[in-house]
Amino acid sequence: MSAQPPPSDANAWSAWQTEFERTIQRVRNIGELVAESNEPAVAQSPRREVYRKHKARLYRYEGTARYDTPVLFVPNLGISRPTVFDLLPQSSFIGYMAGQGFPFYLLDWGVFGPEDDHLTFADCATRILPRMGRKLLADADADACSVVGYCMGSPLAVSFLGSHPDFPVRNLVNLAGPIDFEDAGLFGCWLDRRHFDVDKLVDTLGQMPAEMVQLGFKLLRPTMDLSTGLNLWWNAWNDRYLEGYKALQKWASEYVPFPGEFFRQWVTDFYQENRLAQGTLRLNGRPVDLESITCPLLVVGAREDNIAPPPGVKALVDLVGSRDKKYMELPGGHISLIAGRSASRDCWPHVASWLGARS
Amino acid sequence: MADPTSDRDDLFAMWRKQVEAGADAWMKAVQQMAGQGQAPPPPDPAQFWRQFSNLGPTGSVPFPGAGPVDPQVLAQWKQFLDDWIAAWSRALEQAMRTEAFAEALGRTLDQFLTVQGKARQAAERSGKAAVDALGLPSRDQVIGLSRQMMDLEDRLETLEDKLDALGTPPPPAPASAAANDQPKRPRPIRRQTGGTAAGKTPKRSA
Repeated sequence: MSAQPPPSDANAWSAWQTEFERTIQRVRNIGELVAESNEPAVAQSPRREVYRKHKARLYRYEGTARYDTPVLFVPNLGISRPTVFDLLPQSSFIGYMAGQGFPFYLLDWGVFGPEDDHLTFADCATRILPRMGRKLLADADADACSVVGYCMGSPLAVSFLGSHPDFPVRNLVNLAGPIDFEDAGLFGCWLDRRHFDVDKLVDTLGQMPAEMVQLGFKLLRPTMDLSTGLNLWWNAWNDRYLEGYKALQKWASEYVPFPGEFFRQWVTDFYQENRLAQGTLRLNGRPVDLESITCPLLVVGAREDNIAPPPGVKALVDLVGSRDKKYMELPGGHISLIAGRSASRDCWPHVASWLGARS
Repeated sequence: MADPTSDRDDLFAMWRKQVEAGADAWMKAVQQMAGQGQAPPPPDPAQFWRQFSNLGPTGSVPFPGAGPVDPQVLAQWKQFLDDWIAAWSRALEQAMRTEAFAEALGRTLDQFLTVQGKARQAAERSGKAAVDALGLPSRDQVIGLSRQMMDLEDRLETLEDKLDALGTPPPPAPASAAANDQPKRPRPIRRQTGGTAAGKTPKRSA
């Protein structure tokens, strides 16, 4: 016999009734989702363009500034659009930070075409980033800024700061940014020089096309679509969930190509030769010296991150010359660290309070 | 009355034991054939399936007839499916983390690029011939033009940097000395930046 007492008939009937109503709602909502042609409105936080260089744009987000030190947010280049940081008003990292009183600036790298194929990692770190930094300081009328890097934006930001020790940076935050590529997860395994010929790819295709970027990320988690579909069905009765789902899907379906030379340098210098962590990286003739970074540092890793595994993120703590440095490992994956409900609870407040105390 | 859950678990444990024992015997036999245990052990054939069998006969899902129909049965099924997907995800990740998979992936990409390279060359040749015949600019020419504009932008920025480095311009000449006879002083280049959403935020003092 079962150890648990059987539920009362009234409770069981009520629960089945609720389930039945939810199923009706699920069918209706999914029907609407399929039939709907309107794209959800994302990235709605008010902003203005401060500067543009080629495809890159520097945006300043509106908000009442409580802190003197502006924040430069450097996200990944290629792969996806930065709308994920400002998906919806209630789930926007950018909106949250601006609302906390930080003069918040986003560097949007843009969407690259064949005319950008010659753009290298070195160009981004030693030409675009320094200029954007200077424009930010001028616009904010500040003498120093904090730099927050996410994903590939972190090695970019760190390479910029390590090669420009004179740039006035007050704080540095690395959010799930890979620094040490010794064990870089599945991507590290697949991009090994014994199996992956990056030169042939770039020489043939000119760039790393968005379709191949998408394929790589789908392969990284082949069950993701199944899991997403199952969760959609399960939660489709909930209008709020559906709103977030639509916004996230819009972002997730917009893959961005890599400029060819950028991808070549990214794979060779980082994944294959691990130059940043080994201290042998040189960008346009400038050595990248991580020990020259002495500002306060916060590093945040995601426990289930399969794109930037936590040990490779944490490595930055031991490589910089800072005294005030902290590492945190939060639950979640690469995206859920910074976007979504868990991020607004686990990650954003930590970043804001850490930065706030030093701004 | 016998507990059907207990009978089911016993049966499942017995089946699992049989599978494990079979896999163990197979490994021992292969090791003996490969040189009395001198060679590295062969891959464990049960390793892939063990994560599924570890979920239990049905995870947390009751069999029909194993008790009263709980209204939460759908939630339990959802949980089971989540666990099942997670187990598949782990298994696939293990498989994809191997050298063999990386090698196969690299080989597939290499073959794709070889074919793609030839196809692209052929398409570019025919496309160029077509636009030449029509008197239209080719793709390469359009890209070249875009690059020239980017180079121009870079030069303007360099010029802007140099002008900025000269410092603030001297105060304007007195009104009496109209600039009619004076050569015009070059003004710092200011880039036009269009606002997108709201107006410019007033600057704060540092």
